[in-house]
Amino acid sequence: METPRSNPSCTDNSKKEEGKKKRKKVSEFEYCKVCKLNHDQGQRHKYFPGHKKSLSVFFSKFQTKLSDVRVFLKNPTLLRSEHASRNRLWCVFCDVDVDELLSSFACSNAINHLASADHLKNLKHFLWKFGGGTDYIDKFRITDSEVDKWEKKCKSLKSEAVAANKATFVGPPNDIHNELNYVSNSGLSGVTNSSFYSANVSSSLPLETHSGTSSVNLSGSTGHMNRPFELYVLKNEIVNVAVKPKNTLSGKVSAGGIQTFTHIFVPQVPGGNVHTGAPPPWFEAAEESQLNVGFQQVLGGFASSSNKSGNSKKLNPKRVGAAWAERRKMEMEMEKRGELVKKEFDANWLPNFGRVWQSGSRKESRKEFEFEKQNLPKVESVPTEPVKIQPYISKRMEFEFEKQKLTKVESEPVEVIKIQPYISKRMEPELEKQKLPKVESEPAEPVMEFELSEVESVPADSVKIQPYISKRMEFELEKQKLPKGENEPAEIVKIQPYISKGRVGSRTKTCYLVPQVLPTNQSKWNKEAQVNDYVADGYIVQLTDNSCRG
Amino acid sequence: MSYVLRTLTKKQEVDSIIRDTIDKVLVLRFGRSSDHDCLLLDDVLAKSAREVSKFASVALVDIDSEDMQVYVNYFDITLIPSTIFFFNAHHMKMDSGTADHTKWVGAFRRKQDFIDVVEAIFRGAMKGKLIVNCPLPPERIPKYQLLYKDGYLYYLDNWWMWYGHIGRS
Repeated sequence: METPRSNPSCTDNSKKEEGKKKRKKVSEFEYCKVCKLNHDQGQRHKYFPGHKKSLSVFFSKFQTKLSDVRVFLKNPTLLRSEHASRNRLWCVFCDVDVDELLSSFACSNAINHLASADHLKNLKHFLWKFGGGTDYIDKFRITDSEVDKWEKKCKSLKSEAVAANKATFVGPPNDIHNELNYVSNSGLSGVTNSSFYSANVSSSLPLETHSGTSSVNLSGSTGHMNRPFELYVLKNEIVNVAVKPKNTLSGKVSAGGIQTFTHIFVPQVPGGNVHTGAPPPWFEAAEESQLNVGFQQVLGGFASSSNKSGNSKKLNPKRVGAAWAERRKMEMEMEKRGELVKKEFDANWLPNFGRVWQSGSRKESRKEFEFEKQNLPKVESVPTEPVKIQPYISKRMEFEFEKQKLTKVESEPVEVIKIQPYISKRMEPELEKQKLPKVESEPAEPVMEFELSEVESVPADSVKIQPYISKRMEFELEKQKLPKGENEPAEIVKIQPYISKGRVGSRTKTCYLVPQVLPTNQSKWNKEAQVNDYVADGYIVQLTDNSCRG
Repeated sequence: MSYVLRTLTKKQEVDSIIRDTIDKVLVLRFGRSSDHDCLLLDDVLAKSAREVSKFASVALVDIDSEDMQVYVNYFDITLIPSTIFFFNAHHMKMDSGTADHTKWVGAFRRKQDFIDVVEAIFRGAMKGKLIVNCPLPPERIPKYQLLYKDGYLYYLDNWWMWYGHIGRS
């Protein structure tokens, strides 16, 4: 409003308009934090009486706060941890809350801050922007010489305190312990306080975009006791980190800046976890996840994106889970085509080191393992039959067992197994021949007897030794016939010298020792032919040389 | 951030995503979307998810659902947000100087931190390593400490109070 008066010589309309433009250009709305109002008067605002009034109030308020700090500057005192949360200072020039949570002396952070170069810079900027005067500079800052004195006093005090009472230093760790126990036992920490949430988000996010020239206020709006964390940043370096007061119930913690965590209460379930090497839960319910078809489609994006980069041949074959990747890829391909329904995994997902060393060289035990591993699936591939577990049967026992079986079989009337001695090929045709006459001989038994008697009687001289067969003996022989008939082949197959037909003919004069079996009855059959037949067959057992007798 | 990144609430979903993410790092953030710390981390994850999409996929896991307690117990999640990495259905660990190698506790300070960590895990996994070293400088790693008691780990998240000031210039 002064501008037109200051240029009374300017009568031109265009010039007036220019002046208005300039005035408008200068006067953009800005916030005066001293008067707490928005104004568009630009730099002129600080000369206004209202502003000057509020500025003096502003300064006096801060002066009282600073006087408290100066008390501690003159007589440094140890700060108890339970009072630390209350001992803090809001620096109006830097817009920073200075906390004392970590400091062992009262207002030590505040003193350091007020003595810092950044505070001086901000203070000067403030005084330039909002008025005041250069004489305020020394009122609102602490000189280095004062700080040096204070530090010396602190050192001496600290050494005294350490010597006198260690409890004050052990205090904070004890508190941590108590707090930790409280948190983990009560479970209250699982509840996130929404007020923290809103306050912290608004305060923490600007930190990333903060350039570092001036300090930043974080979370000044929460209540005094519930303030979760406060910190300020100067020149992008963390000067001080302040943490939650110990009487807050949430597990909010800030360490090293914006890294904060929330402690949650987890009811501890018996059973292993990742530290104890329990089997990972993502392999547990393979089949269940397959049932959820809808989700498979949802996952499609992930699966396909990873699948499309299918240059797996170029990838390191020794990479983590390479075998798994190959297999899973195949499975997913098949699932896509709808071929594979079942999803299974085996113990092969674990790295396999091939058996621990047992004996010999390590290589041997590994080779042994691999050999067994190769053989194992073969055995499994055989269709599984119910295998009877039997006791060990020795060869001897087996033989006896066989015998038992045989007797059992024999007891059955159906089959009769004859135990026969070994018959060579050569002897077989002879046996064949024997069989034929046997069949014939049965009805002709009396005939044969007769014939034999004829044979005996005809070459009477040649028959030297003839065993006498009495009537009684004959009867007994008759009796014996029946069982002998059955046993005939066994008896007859005595090992005999082969007798050709020709030889038989030439030896007709020799006497025949007829076995007792032979009948002596009369017969119509031709004697000679009969005898020859007998001889040729070897049927007649003994043959004695006449000459050797004579 | 749940609208930017997929939030998993069922165990089956987590199972499937772990098993079906092949030749890529899977980043699972365990936390709750109402938590301010988780929101900070989610912001970082959401902003960088696209940049790491060639070698990593990111998903959020809601720890409050009943179904998810199996995983919460298995990974022993007592501080949220906790970020867990997988590669080819294998749990990837990272030695970041903290007591727990199985997970990353806390938020990442900036996008680049997260990208660096994921890249380190991916490179390590491609070389067949199940545990990698954290590429971040220690001052950018959230600090906490663990107490082992009765077979469980207790998180002493304000351990640094034992040591006084940190990062004081």
